[in-house]
Amino acid sequence: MKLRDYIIRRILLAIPVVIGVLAITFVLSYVVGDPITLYTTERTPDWAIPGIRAEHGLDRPIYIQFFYYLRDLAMGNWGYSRSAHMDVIDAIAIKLPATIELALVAMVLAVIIGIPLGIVSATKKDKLADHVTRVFALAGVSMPIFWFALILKYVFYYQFFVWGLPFLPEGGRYSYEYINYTPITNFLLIDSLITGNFVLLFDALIHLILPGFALGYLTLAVITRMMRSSMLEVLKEDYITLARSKGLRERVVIYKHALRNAMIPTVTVIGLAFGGLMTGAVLTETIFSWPGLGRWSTGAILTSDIPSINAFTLLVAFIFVAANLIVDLIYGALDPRIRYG
Amino acid sequence: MTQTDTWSAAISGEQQLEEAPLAVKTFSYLQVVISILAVIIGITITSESLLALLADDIPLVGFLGTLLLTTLPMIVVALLMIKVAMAVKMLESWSFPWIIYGNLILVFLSFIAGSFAIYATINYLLMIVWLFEPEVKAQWWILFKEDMGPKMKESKYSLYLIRRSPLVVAGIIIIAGYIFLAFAAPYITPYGPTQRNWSEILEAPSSTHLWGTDQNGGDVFSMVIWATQIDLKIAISVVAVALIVGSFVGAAAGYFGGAVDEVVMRITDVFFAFPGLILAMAIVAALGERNLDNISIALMMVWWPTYARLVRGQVLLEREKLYVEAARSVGASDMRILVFHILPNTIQPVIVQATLDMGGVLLTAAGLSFIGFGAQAGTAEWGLMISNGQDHFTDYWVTFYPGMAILLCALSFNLVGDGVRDILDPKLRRR
Repeated sequence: MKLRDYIIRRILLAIPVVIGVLAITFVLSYVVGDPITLYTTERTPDWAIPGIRAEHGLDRPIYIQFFYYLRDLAMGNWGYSRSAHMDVIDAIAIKLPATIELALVAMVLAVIIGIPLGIVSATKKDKLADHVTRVFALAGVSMPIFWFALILKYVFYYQFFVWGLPFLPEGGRYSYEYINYTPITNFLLIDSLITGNFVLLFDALIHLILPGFALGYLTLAVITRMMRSSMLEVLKEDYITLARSKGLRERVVIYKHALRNAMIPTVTVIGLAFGGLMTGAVLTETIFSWPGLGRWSTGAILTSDIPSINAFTLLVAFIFVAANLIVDLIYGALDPRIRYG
Repeated sequence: MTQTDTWSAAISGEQQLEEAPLAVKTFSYLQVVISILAVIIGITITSESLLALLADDIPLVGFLGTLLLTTLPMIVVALLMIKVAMAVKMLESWSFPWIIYGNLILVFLSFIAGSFAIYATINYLLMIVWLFEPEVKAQWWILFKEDMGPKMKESKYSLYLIRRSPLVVAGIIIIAGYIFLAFAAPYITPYGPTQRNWSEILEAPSSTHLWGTDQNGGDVFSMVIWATQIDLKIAISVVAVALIVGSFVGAAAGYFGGAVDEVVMRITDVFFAFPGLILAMAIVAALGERNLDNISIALMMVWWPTYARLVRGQVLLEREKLYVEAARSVGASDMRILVFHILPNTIQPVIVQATLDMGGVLLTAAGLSFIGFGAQAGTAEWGLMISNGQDHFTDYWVTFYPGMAILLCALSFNLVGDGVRDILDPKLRRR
């Protein structure tokens, strides 16, 4: 199979998944529980209800309603978010960049720390460094993110403040002085670079450290574990023995020969970790009062704001599906065996 | 040959096995399994009905109706038991062993007390004792040992490997500790799970409040220990249901292949398109009410596809093996092959996955309750405790201890799961 055919096949395979995702969100938001409650209050008189039902097409058969739902989604009519006091689509435009920024920082932290740790752990197998790394990674997998975030906040904000050390901010995207900042792309890092406002850039980076690390720790742990095990697997291969017996230096063997092949499974994990980051964002953003999707969605659920929950679920699922698709394509490009398998 | 000769030969270890009737063999295996199950079920039903009676939940009419309904199957079971007992002992009806007298007395007693559950429990306990009576044991023990011998040896070897791995042992000890805490909570905690003292709010750890008090004056130490019950119950029930449902769906998909397989796999694909916590959030939101039961239901719906995938993959591997062909060639039905031949051989990775998932479910459930789904405010539950403490995070003890409880519990399940996976991995075994 050629690479092009593989890509087409993989994209076609994603279509039923997308339809299924739409069906599930439709069922969850508009079928379970009476959707009429979205348009009524306790003061709505009983005689008005059939009219409201007809107006929103809720008296039609369920599959017709599903088409209405798809039509509305395609037209960008995602409903009104009561918790954000604006249209859902506008709320997403404002809140998505904040979450993406946080997730990317977390991802970068996880990758630049996780991969070297995994390599060290594999090359120094059963030494002290390996044991420490493994415990560190295992703790990351078992750590409740929200608790870790609170502890970080306690130590680096409160305790550092108490000790008179330079402490990190407790939450938000920027300090109070910059409240007048006018968003351009809503990506704070990009905005501040465009306008050349390096003080704001520094401030934004400072604000990203704690939530970024709290969010990234799980991904970091997963990457470290994957890197370790795939590295160990690769180091057992014959071509590594060959490279060593040629008299190559150990550095060259590991970084030139082993690393490239060990990276393949790790790339998959990195892609899949996007789902974990979205989950983590829900928890981390709540604690660091980060004005992103996660905080919005928890607020929406607590106020039973169905259109917002629905939009959030859909959006995350689409991001996840897209990430999976991209990972599969990269995988196919990296490893020809996948294409022919 | 007389009966006495058969017994003495069997007891002294001489091989008289082919003379043991098939019914006896089947009976004894079934008996062991059913007895254990029945004792568990019986104790549960008994305690629950007793509790209901104490709480005045059962009206008199219902009580009498149940009496009638339970006595009928009781008599049937009792008659069957007597028949089986006689068949096993190869006795004429006139020489009753004590087990039959015991049964008769039990039927009489439960007529008066009116509980099938009590009858079943005591009866099966008696049956277990009776199975190990020397005469009866001679009927099945040698056969049993011969059948189970290789399996026992394998399990002993596994146990040996597990014992040698300190991390797995540590994990098992911690899990056992948690289970102990869950059961012993009423006896070792100084305060109740919902007990509040409004005059002692946010007090630092001291001798009266070992881990301090929270913002409502609840004792953190007591609440963390009481929460063990709730959290473990969620984790165990979610994993158990997901495992059972997922395994059967996956096994059917893998075994029958074709359209069934395609449909099931596409459905699991859709479920995998959502990150677990977020799908669970959406389901809880759709279910409307926020309580622990809905969290469990949501997590079950999120978790079953993992097992469906895993078991399907295993079944696809096993399906082509020779023993399946052999079973089919002697005319075993599809259902029989799947349930008795293939599924037992796929159990190991499923167990490992279940252990690992216990930690995952625990974390996700705690996360859900942290963002405000959990039980009613004031329930002792780890996630909820941390959630309540986040506004008072400068008083670290309110959040620190429940978080440590989650961390340690999830960590120990991960340790055991990882370790056991390495041990069961055939590539690493016996080298």
